[in-house]
Formats: sequence, structure tokens, C-alpha cells
Amino acid sequence: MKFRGALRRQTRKLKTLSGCLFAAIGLLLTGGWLATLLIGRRAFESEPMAPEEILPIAQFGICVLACLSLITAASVRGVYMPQQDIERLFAAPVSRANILRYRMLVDLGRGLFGSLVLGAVTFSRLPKPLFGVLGIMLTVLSTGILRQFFSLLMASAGNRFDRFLRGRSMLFMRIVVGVGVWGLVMFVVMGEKLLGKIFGSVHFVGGLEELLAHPVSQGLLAPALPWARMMTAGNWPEFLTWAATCLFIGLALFEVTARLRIDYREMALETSDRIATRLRQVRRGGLFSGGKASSRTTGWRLPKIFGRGPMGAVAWIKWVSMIRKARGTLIIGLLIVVGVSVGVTFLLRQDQGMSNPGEALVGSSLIAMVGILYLCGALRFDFRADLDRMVQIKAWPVSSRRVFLGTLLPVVTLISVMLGAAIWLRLALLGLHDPVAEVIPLVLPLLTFAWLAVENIVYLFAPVRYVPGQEGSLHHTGRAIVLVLLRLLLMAVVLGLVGICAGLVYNIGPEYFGLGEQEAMWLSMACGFDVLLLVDYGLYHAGGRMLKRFDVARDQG
Amino acid sequence: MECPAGFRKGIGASVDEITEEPRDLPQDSDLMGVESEALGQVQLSVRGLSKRYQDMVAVDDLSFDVRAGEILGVLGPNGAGKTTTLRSVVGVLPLQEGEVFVGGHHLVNEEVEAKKCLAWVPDDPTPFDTLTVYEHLEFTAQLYGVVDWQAHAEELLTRFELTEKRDALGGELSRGMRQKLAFCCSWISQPLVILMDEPLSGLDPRGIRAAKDAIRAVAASGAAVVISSHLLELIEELADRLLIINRGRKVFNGTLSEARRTLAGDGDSRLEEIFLRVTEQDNVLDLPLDREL
Repeated sequence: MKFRGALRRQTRKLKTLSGCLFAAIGLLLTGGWLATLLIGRRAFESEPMAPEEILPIAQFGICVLACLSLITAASVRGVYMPQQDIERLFAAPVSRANILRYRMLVDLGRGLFGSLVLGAVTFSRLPKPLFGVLGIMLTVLSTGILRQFFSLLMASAGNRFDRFLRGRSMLFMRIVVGVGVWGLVMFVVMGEKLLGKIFGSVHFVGGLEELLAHPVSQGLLAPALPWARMMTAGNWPEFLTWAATCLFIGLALFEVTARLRIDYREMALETSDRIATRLRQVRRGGLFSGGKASSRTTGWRLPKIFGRGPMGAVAWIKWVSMIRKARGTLIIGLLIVVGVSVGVTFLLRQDQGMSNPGEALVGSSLIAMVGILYLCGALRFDFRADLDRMVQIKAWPVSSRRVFLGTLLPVVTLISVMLGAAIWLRLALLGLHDPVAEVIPLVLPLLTFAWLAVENIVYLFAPVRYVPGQEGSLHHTGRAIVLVLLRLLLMAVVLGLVGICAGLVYNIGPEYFGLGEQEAMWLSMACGFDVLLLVDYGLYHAGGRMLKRFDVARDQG
Repeated sequence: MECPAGFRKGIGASVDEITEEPRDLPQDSDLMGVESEALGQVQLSVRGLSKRYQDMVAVDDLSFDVRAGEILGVLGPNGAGKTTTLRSVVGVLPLQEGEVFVGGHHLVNEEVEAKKCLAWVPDDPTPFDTLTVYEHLEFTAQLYGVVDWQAHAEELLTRFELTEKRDALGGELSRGMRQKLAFCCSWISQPLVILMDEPLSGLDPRGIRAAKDAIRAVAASGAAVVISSHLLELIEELADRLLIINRGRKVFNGTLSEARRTLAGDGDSRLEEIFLRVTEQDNVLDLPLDREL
């Protein structure tokens, strides 16, 4: 019934021209991506690995999947079901075992696509691609059942060790498991190369193969053997034997999970409520800035740094949001800034031929561009967080242009300050000197405003709030991709305009005005700055117009 | 002419204090003519308002006036166009056809001035989850350019029993508390016109009593109030005039007494009977304030 409903929803969207178009684009891009994975892996990867060589790696991969299931189970205790399912099924004359069976079947159906993608990514390394893909699909589906099994056990444990599971010890455990898994993945990806770089000539382990061949590792990986054998089977009898074994284990686990004598209802209500709240927050303001506000700062008098007029008031609420959600804002902001700065430095240091000023300029420009791109995506203290509040915002006695500017001003300031500090700090720490690179932070507010304005104008034009697991995802994927392309196109026009004007002045400056190269460069930068200022002014007006035409009855995203 | 914020006095005062002033509010028993003398000038004027969504007409050529001190109850079945009408009047929805004047300001040509005279309580208020209750009032006061708002804010918080919650974040409030906060925010600027969409939803009996008293008080202090609700008892109790809409069209505009006489044919029918009768048929009955039957 649910499948029929989802199908109906999808087909209803196809009745309009735009729905058809977006769904076609979504289908095309998803299909294209899968095809690229299949063809690309086949074309560029080396020959399939030998069964005895790939077997421990497959076991290791399965164990990593199982570990991830365990981590997920710790945060989704009991059963996760949408509110409407809980209201109907918990009150309906359906046994708890059957509710679990239904839920696991829904999860298995949803896991099919993910397993197909994983199969497409890895099949070329497996001895027989068909067995590999089928084996991976069956393994991923079994992991889903295992996750549900763990979730129920956690729910049962939660009733007994509630204080422990809610406290910091659980958070600490999750961090330890997360770091452990991340370390293993890094080891697989970088292996000895990374360790060799860090620790020089000290020999730790010869690589993944040697680590996996260790008797302790083999003992730990032993439970994953049937699934690994199924994936790496070399012929039909071997595959069928192991597939039957895995299927039997999977079905047995399915039935055992369904029949577990654990009353999960209370825990399921709590889990579903928590996940629904989280999804609502994600829909409102993204993964990080949509988080819960801290009540510790409610007693603080936060200064009105953007003025005491109506526009200052609009900016003030955003500024307060940033402070009250500082944990998410600052942690993610700093992580991005540090990550981008270190990454850019690491990347440029590989190129030994680059001069000191060259590295300063290229590095600062890269930090500015990549930083703006990531921070504007992560810190959503703008209209993307206010869609549910548009009914009130539109009634404010402030012109739409001022509301637009007041909303964007605080986040533009925050991003500019963060990136400006990172650029200057990097230049100072590395002892790099270049006057142009040192001026880049001054242009950051204009650049950030341009990017955020374009982002918000497109968002107000067609608000798309896609949340993973949402119905009609094909339609949303297509629409979201078209809008991303539109944003990129608009931004390319903005930067192109600035670049052309600055380049023109730089090229004709020496000839027509008799300027030296240095003077021409400064003049071209000043010209670029002015053009960017004009573009920002245009975007400010366009943003106001877009906000004015926003129809709360239609544009609900 | 700009609408001066906080021009009216005594909104935060109790009903008793307000009614001490020599003021003659219309009662159900009053007939036309008496009302026109007692009520002030027209503060909200809607002319030929229409709103379409593709092929569907949500509001069709709607006109009405609301005077200072008057409470207009907007009624209609589900999907009649009540919320669309209110949202268009407060400028949340763009005006497609028609004109709206608030305190003499044209809503399109003098948008900011018109909106300064308005307050809006939506059906499901969404406070900012990072602002405290008190900061919501501070923000609204700054937004509407209200000075010396603190004493008034305290009065409102006391009236709506939010004093203990003054430092609670918007995201921590229950549905009823959010509704009370929306009342406080709309009252703080002492507007000329207040529009409320289902104002009592989510409120407990004590909250309902406080809200009713506050609505009466705000009208008594000279504001023009528009309430849209499905609660016929509320409208019957509070409204001076009724505007009944069906399928986007006005089917009745007049006082309850007029409705009883013209639509029910007697003087005792309850609003429920009148409502059911009116919404079954589409005859338009528009009885302006200054016209006697």
C-alpha cells in the first residue's frame, strides 16, 4: 500500500510539464551516474583480484558495514517509523512482530538502491561481477536486518541502562567507534604511504593485506566469511551454496528479530519523535545551523551590532541565532576553514616550483573561493531557514530589499571574518608576502554577499527543501540539480563580469594610460571591486523583488 | 501620513480600566445607525479584492470596511477563502486585483506605512527558536519603531501569563504559549488594525478568557479588529459585525441582529443556524454600516 502511495505521488508529479521535465533530468542524471560507475570502473580499473586475495578484504568491508550498523543502531534505538505509521499501526490490531516485519521489509526495499550503487562501485574487483553484485546486494540487505536487531537490543538495554546510554559515556563510545572506523578507512585508503610520511622509515605493518592476514584479524573477521565467500565465488555451485547459507542466516535473523520479546513501543515513539525533529531542523536550516538552540545564553544582552532600525532588528535575530547555535556554527565553520586552509597548503606544497608570492596569491584565492562555497552551504542563517516563517516575515513593515539585506548581513560578516582571518593567519604562519593576497580578505564581504544573494534569489524563486528519505526524490533530485546549475551559471556570470572588466583594465592600462604593471594591476583590482559592488547592488534589488513576489500559498518547497 | 507606532493608549490596561472611559460600544441589541455614531472612522477598507490560483478563484471581488473600535468576525466553511483574504489584506500574499487601505495608506503604494498600522496573528504562529519571549517583544518593537515599549511589554506578559516564561526560547514554547506570544507581539506596536486567524486555537480555558478580554480591550481602545474563526460562539460573543464568505464570495456582511432579521426571519436564531442557512445558498447580502434596514 505504501509502495502504491509512493508510486502515485511520483506519477502525480509527472502530470505537469515541469514535473515531467525535472523527473526526466533526475532520472537521466541518476542513470548517468550509475552508468559512469559501471563503465568507468570496468574501463579504468585493473583486472579482477584473485579470490584468495580479495576474500579478507571483502570480510573486512562486511565488518566495517556491520560496525556502521552498530553505530546507527545506537542512535536509532527501538524502531524508527514515521509519525503517521506509529499512530495507525500501534493502535491497529496488528501484532508487534508483524509491525517489525513490515518495517524491516520497508527498510529492505529502501536499501536496494544503496546496495546496487555499492555493487556498481566494487564489482569490477570481484572475480565474477554477477556474483559480486548479487552478493553485495544480499549482504547490504542482511546488514539492514542486523541493524534492526541491534536497535531492538539497544532499546532493551536502554530500559536498564538509560542513564548510561543517554550520558556522556555513550557519546564518548560513539566518538571512539567513529574515530576507529575512520582510522581504519584512512589506513585502507592511504596505507603505508601515509604512515611512512608521518613516521619516516619506521616499519609498522606492510599494508592492509598483512594486517588482515594476522591471526587475530582473521579471528575477528571470521563471522563475515559466508558473505565474503558468496561475493567472491568463482562458479555457480559455490555461489549458490554460500548464497543459500547467507539467505538462511538472513531469514533466521529476520524472524528472530521479529519475535524478540522486547516492548519497543515507548522507545520507538521517542526515537521517531527525535528523528522527526531532526529532519524538521534539517529542512529548516541545514544539518548544522538547523540544530537546537542553547538556552545557556538566554540571559545575555546581545548587542544590536547592525543598528537599531527595522533592518537592524532583522539582522539582530540572525546574529542571535548564530550565537545561540554557536556550537554547531563555530565547530562546523572552523572545521571547514581549517580543513580548506590545510588542504590548500598541502596541495600547493606538492608543487615545489611555485614562487612565494604565487603561492600566497593562489592559496588565498583558493581559500576564499572554496571557503565561501562550503561555508555558504553549511551555515544556513538565511531564507533557507525561514521558509516556515514567511507568513510572518511578509507582514513585517520593512521593505523587502531591507529584509533581504538584513537577513544576509550577519552570515556574510561571519563568513568574511572567518575566511579573512584564515587567509591572514596562513600568510603570517608560512611567512608568505604578496600585497594582492593580503587585500583579498577585504573583497570577501562582497564576494560572499554575491554568492549568498544568488543562492537565496534562486531559493526564493523555487524553494526546494530536499531531505533524505523524502518521497518523490526523483522529481526533487532533478529540480535541485537544475537549480544548482542555475546558481552556478548566475555566479559564473557575476564573476565573469568582474573578471572581464578587471582584465580589460589590466590589459589596456599600460597602453592607454601609460601605467606600469604594478599600477595597472591595482587599477584593475579597483575596477573589479567597483564592478562587484555594482553587481551586489543589483543583487540586493533583485533579492528584494524576489522576496516581494514570493507567494506563501504556492512556494512552500 | 505615517502611522505613528503606539499612538493609541491603554491597550495593555484591563477591560475594566478601558470601559471607565466614556465610550459607547455597539452591543448585539443595538441597531444600525447607533453603531455608526459610536464607531470611529474606517481604518481598514478592502475594495474588489480577488485572488486566483491558476483556475481556482480563492477570493472573488470582496469588499468590506472595518471602523476603529469595531470587531469584524469573518466566517465561512473550510476552503471559503478566509485565510487567503486575511493574508492578502496584511500583505503576506501579493494583491492580484482590488485595493486595500489601512489607516488611509494604500497597501501597495505605501506598503511600509500601511503595514506599520497593521498587526497580524497567523493561525499557526512560528516564533524564532533562538529568541526568548522577551526578545520577541524587543524585536517587534524595534521592527515597528516603537519607543518606550518596556512597560507595555510587562503589562502584556502579565495579561497573558507569560511573565515566568520571559526567558524561555521560542522553540521551547507549547502551542498555546506560542499563540499567547503572537498576541503580545501584535499588541506591542498598538496598531490601528489587528487581523487574527483562528486566534484561540491551542489555548487553555484561562488563555481563552485572557485572549477574549484582550481582544475586547484592544477594540475598546480604538483598534479595528478582524477575527477569522470556525468557533461560532467566539464570533457571536465578540464580533460587532459579521462577514460570511462562501467559495471566495461575500454572502453576508452586517451585524448579528441584521442577520437574525434578514436571514433567519426572527430575532432569536443562533449564529450556527444562520451560518448553515447562509452557506447553503449563495445570495449576497451586504449591509453597510451606515445604512439602516
